[in-house]
Amino acid sequence: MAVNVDVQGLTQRFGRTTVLDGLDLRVGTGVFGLLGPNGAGKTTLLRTLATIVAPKAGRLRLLGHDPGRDHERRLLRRRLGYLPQHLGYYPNFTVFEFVEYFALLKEMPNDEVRPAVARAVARVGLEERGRAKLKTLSGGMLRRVGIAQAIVNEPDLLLLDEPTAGLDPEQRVIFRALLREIGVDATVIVSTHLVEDVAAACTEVALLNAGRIAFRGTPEELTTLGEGHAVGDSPLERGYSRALAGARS
Amino acid sequence: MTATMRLFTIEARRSVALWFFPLMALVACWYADSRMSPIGVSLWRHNSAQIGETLILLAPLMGGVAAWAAGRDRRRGVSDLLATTPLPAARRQLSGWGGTLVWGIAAYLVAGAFIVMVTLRANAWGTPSLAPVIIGLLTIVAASAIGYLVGSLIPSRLAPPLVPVALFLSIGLLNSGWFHDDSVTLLSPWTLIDRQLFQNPEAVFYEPAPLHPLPMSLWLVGLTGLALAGVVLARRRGVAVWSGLACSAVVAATGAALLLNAYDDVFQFGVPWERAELVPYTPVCVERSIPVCAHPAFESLLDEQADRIDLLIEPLRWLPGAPARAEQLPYASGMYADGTLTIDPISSGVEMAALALVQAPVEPGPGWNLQMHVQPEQAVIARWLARRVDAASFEQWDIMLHDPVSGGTIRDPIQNEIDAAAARFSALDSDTQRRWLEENYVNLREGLLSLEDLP
Repeated sequence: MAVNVDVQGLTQRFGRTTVLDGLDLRVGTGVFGLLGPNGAGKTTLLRTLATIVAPKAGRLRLLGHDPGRDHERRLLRRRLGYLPQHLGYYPNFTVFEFVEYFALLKEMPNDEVRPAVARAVARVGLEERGRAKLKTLSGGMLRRVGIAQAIVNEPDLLLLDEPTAGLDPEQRVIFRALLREIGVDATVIVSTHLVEDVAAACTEVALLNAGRIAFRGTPEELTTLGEGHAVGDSPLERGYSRALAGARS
Repeated sequence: MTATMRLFTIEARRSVALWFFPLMALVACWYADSRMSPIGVSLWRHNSAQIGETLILLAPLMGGVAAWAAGRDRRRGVSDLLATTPLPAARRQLSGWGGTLVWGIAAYLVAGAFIVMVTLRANAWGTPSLAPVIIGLLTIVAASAIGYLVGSLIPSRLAPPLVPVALFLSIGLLNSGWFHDDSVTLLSPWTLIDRQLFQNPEAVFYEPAPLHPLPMSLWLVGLTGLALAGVVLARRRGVAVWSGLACSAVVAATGAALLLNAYDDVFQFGVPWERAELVPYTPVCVERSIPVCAHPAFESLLDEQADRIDLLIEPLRWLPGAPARAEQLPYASGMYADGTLTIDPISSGVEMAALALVQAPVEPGPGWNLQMHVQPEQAVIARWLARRVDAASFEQWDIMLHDPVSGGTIRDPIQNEIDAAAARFSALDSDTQRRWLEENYVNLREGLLSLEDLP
């Protein structure tokens, strides 16, 4: 299996605060869940992998490229999809325009842009609202627009920060199916607070705590870890709590 | 269509400038319309300059709109998402700037088309001049680039409203009296274009002060380059960007240096008047009791004015020294010894012609102020002559004195005597008037009479 994300000794600091502390991570194709409490460093890790911020220390290779080099970073970004935790958007753009705008920024071949936009919008179930301006959409719909722009270039590395926040249960189910579908050929890293997302969509999961990986395994392994542990409403939540407690002790 | 063009199309379609476009076009048309024919006739060269002059409103407005557009990504929280895309930020930002600028240019073109249409309908004289139009356009481009730079660098929401104020002050103050014709004023495109306008009828006879379109274009293109290089530099530093910045600085500095050296060329142009270069022309004439001629720019007014001149000279027609010809001449007023009465083809020119008819012949040339040299008894007959043509005539030529009490001006008391004498003369029957003129016209013009000699 190809290693699409290869992180060694990754450190990120903001001022005196160390957010990621010598983190090692190797991820191949599939859907990789990233769990952790608030402030654990999930968003910082995704922003680093999305090439928004350069690492303070450590080595990073994504899709075989070194993002520290201009040319390689540009090649990498063409194959990257990213959905930030808080999606900014242009209220006067239509759904099609917004997704097309990002398809163009991702340097997709000209003749592929329009069909790719239509396909991405359809995959998130917004084809009926394609000509609606973003300012007229609900929060959940906007989240789907964000997902559409992230997948429009059919990325080999898809980074999603809280993608299901604001989605209704029906959309969440559809979205998880979409993640599984994309994860067949690509690496999808999903940061989430919702263990149901992990249980339903992820092939692998990591628990991040204080900038370090406290647990890594399959969702089933995390569930097993939680057996006999009282905190949590579901087996996976109990596994999460157990792993977290272990890391903190 | 290339990716950049498609980005540009989306940006233009959704640009905030689109909302300002109708306002900008309307304001530009209104401004141009209010200043289009200050000398009573439509002139291509004046109106071409007027297109360029709309820059004083459009350039600051576009600067503000561009500053707002430049801050969009930060305001909308899209910066993170954009940072993950491979297209160089410079190309994305240039698309955004272009999508904004296109509406400023569109507003400028609308104003230009409006002025051209009005000028065509007015059957204007002369030929269009492209240089001020291009300078106006380049100013709008430069202002929007500067606005975009400020919006990119300063995240405050105060930047967009402050940019137009700063640009207006920069362009406007440089063209104001604050700088007392200092050569630095030539860095304002408004200063140069302003000097292309025809503020008085005599201007049609002379070449306007040089516009220096090349130095001004270099200056504006250099400023645009500097601003855009600044926009790119904020995101990416490289040899290409630094080279662009350096080239722009050289271009801007060259243009500025050439402009600063053009002081004499612009401000001393045509001063004194003998140095001014007359543009050759063939006068247009109409026949009345005498030929009445004018510069071809005033052809549309000539028929009406010839009728008025004809009526004006009618009581003097058979008298010795009566005019044999009336003609509009550059910077000339009075009546020449050869019988040529100089006229101004605009309607108020009748009063000046009336004053010329009652004074002694003058040598051809400028500087003779008919109002200053008129004697009271001459003013009476001039007033009577002019009022035969237009009852309202001469109200504006009353002799005024400084009033030490109020600090303002008051009518010279002799004006009342002149009014009374003119009323008495008007009340006479035409035979009596003609006889008096036959006996006294020559002496009247020589200033040998007094108010008491009037009937």
